[in-house]
Amino acid sequence: MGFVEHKNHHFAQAKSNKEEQKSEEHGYGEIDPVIVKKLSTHEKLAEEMKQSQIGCEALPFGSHPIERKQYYSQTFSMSPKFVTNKGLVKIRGKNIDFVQLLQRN
Amino acid sequence: MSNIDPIPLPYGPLQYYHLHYILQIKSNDNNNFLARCKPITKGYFHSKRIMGVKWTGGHNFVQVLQADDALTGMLKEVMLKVGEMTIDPQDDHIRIYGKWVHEENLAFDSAMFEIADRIALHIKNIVQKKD
Repeated sequence: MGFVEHKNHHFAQAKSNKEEQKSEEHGYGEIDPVIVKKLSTHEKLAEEMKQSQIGCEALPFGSHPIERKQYYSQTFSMSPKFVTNKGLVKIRGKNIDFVQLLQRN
Repeated sequence: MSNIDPIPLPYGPLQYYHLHYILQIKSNDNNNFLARCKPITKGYFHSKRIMGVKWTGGHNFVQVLQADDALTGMLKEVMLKVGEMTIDPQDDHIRIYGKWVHEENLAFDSAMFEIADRIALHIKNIVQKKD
């Protein structure tokens, strides 16, 4: 039986939890079930990076010590105080080690 | 185009995101890598053009960045969109980031990634030379 996978590509509709919803049509044997897979924002970012031939991996929330430290040194003026961590992506084979996504509060 | 909420909540996170490119490096001279890049522009609105870029910050580090013609060329292409580039060092890592991006414009930018990667290369070279 074939599955059709739809991925949401809009960051605006990003949800923090990964959900998998499976809907199945009953009564008509010709219609295949549809799986809707919702990705969090940093996972979508990692997918886009992979499309650009960059080796990367979206890490689980709060799994790295960098996520529990200060995000800004506050040396520059206008550095924000309140931000929300939206996830960390580990980069392989480049000088950059991580890409972190932050949302302004 | 993404769906914009017509009645946004008056509290909680705003619709602006920051993408930080992080270089994990620990040295005694991390504070010397503080720098900011701003464009030198000519004209206004549709006729606005980037003539060059100006780095401000730690003297030696800024000289290295300013001397890199390839980096300057890459920055000239993105500066109209990005606005400014900041290198924000901390104790055990260095963050490189641009301006806040609205969620409808949020996407991975390979040009920005290449610029951050080149800056990270310069930082690694400087730290290795000192060691």
